Amino acid sequence: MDARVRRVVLVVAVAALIAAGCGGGTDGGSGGRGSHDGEAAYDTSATLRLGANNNPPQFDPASGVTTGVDYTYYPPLYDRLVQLDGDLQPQPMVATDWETSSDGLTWTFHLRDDVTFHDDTPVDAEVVAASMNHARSQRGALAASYGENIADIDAVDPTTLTITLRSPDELLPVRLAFEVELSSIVNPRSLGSPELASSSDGSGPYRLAQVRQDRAVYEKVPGYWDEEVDQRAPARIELIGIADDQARANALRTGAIDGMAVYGEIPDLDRLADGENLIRYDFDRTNRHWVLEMNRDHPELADPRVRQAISLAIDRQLISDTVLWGSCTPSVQPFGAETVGYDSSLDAGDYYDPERARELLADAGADDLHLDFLQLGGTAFQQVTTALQGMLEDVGISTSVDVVEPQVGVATFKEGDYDLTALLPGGAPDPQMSLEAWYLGGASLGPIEPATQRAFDQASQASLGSDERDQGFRAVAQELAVTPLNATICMQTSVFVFSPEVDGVMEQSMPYMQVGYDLARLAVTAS
Amino acid sequence: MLRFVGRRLMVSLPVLVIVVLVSFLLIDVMPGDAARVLAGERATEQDVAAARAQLGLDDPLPARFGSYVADVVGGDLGTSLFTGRGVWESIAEAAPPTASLLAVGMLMALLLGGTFGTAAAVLRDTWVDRGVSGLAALFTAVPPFVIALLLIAPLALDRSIFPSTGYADAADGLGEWLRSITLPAFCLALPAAAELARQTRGALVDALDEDFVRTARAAGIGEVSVVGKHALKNAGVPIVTVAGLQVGRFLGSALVVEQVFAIPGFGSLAYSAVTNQDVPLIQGIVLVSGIVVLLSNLAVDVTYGYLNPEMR
Repeated sequence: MDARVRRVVLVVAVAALIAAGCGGGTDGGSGGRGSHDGEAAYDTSATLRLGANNNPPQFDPASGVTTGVDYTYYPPLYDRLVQLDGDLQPQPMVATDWETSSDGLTWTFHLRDDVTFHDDTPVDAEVVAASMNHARSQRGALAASYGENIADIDAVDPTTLTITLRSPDELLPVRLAFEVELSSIVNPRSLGSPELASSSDGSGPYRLAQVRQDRAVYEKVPGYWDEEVDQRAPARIELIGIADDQARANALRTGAIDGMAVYGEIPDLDRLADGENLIRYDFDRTNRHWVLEMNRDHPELADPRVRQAISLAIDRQLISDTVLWGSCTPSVQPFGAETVGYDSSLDAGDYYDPERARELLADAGADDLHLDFLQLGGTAFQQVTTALQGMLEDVGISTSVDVVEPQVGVATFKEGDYDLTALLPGGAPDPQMSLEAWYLGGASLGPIEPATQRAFDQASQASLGSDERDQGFRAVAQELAVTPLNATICMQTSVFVFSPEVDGVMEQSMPYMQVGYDLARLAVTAS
Repeated sequence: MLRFVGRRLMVSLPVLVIVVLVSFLLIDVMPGDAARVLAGERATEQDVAAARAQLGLDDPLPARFGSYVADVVGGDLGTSLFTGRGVWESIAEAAPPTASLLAVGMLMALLLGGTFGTAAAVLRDTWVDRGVSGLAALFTAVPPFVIALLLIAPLALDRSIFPSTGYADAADGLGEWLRSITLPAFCLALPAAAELARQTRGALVDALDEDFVRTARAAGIGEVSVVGKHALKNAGVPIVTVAGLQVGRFLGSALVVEQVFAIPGFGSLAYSAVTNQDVPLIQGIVLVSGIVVLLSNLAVDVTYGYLNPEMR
């Protein structure tokens, strides 16, 4: 490793240690981690209090703007046709089963006949169609963009619903399970009501009892149709927004909350999660990954040699080991190790080669390159950006940095004024959706290499679960490793800490994609 | 006195207009695009254009300002982009915790600063004076969040004397309310108390050297009365000035202290609004903060009039 890069990373690491020292105690120790399996009696009168790093959003699904936040907050209140299990596979919810026409354009969903809203109005195909049609008609909202491929949603009879697509999409059930802004079933009497921003009118296991600045309080509705959920669910759930990581840890330590998501480094995490009083859970099958987004609309970055040079300049192992507290596995592909399309041989290769990076830059006539870097606020983003800046400088690329808050980072980058930004995008249930969101569309700016686009089209047209699809996405990963559109840095583990009484942690789907909860999967065991 | 208050109010009006103008212009001068925030992370350019029209950002600036002023005067500060709740509603909900911190913190600062400042002045050039002056210089330089980080471990984590996070509403019990705000209020109060102690000492030392104090002592008036009734009142103007300045300082420091203690107050609301680029909420917070500081300045001016009738 180059001495200059070592110095930069050392400075960042020392800064991190100083920050850690300011943040609270620093005692080490071995941390317990694992699952809470086995038979248990559930305390259905309990209140489960969980810490999040954001305050509650607005609660009208059709107006939701951030899937990563909405997927935690809406599902306890609103049922969907389909839900995701802990393996990110679509499972029946209001729809018992579904089939597609031979041309792949028309999907037929068969619905349960025993689901009712909290006011006892039946949830039938007509109200599902009304709810989803309302959501996708909200111009300028996330639900509308999710519904762009939908041509029609029709109720055939009370228990049969058809969705007609503009182009075939085998992932429709997965999308309906994940894209809660579009698929949450809202009581027709409340569609478009401004009251819905801070109340609920759904058929989920909970109703929204109270929304305050820092918390959402969910109250269980007796007699939920899914008996398994009904028999486990605690009487109340309070999701409390505590922005500061150390304050969240303090709240957990003193019993003010029963569980927390870990967003950044907590110096005494191992002492906090000692395996007895508090248990650490690592979700390492995640698709969440750090990526250096490159704006290919800018002439310098349109040249694949420059992007390749940038990727070769990044010492992924060093970033993971130092600034990301070892919780990120170095990788050059945007898929997790157990995801379709993952190619282990790619990550076995050495993609840190500053010498080759300098040669590529010289070939491209970009040996005096200056790039504008958009840095998102927060310790982790600041440290990763600083490390990347040092590594780029080492191959002759100078950068200037502007800072914005993380929640608006993607929106600001999409304005197109910046060349680079380091992001930690939430994963999606399927690699195709991740690629659509972060590499071939969404936050990704600029033209796509024809070979990459061809490989993606071929992979996405293959049948779900087929070897052809797996091979297809491996081909995409190989293209992205050799000729990167953006530079993948590492796969980020989602870390949570819960009290031992909290059950169902590992059955959640959300932590495999983002740092959030599947609230309806969690239970409190009776002591 | 009423005429004096009226004059001060009239002087405050132009400042209020500037505060309204600044809060209005925030949507244009802040980095980022509120329409993109509203449209969501996967919005197309058409989606962003639709969101911009929904926010009224396509209208000419003067028309938007006229509409904004009309809304503010009518008590409508708009709706949060992130929560969909009314800005007034959000601010009203966040006000009690911060008002509690401000009130208890200011009381602590006045009691600590006044007591130690007076002691240092009366015992001038003794070890008490030197000790108070040294500690005051130290605590003036220490930010409240550092004090918070130092106190949380021994008082909240190791021993549960105070909670480490959260706010208990006064309606749910005065004891719990006081317990929940004592530590954060003390963190806010300590630097302010140090500043007040320095000012009190300085002003009182000057006042104690005045002829009227010598005359009062010569007339046989007791030392407590000389210091408390005569000297302190004459030293009051600079002390009140510094105390008034602490309101703005408290509001600024609350932003960090409320994060450390996870208190859902005005500072946390401001933090959340800024991180979510929730422009209507930021505008409301700037406007209300400006009005609070204006009112505190007005209170300081009125107190000047009480302490020194020549200033009316």
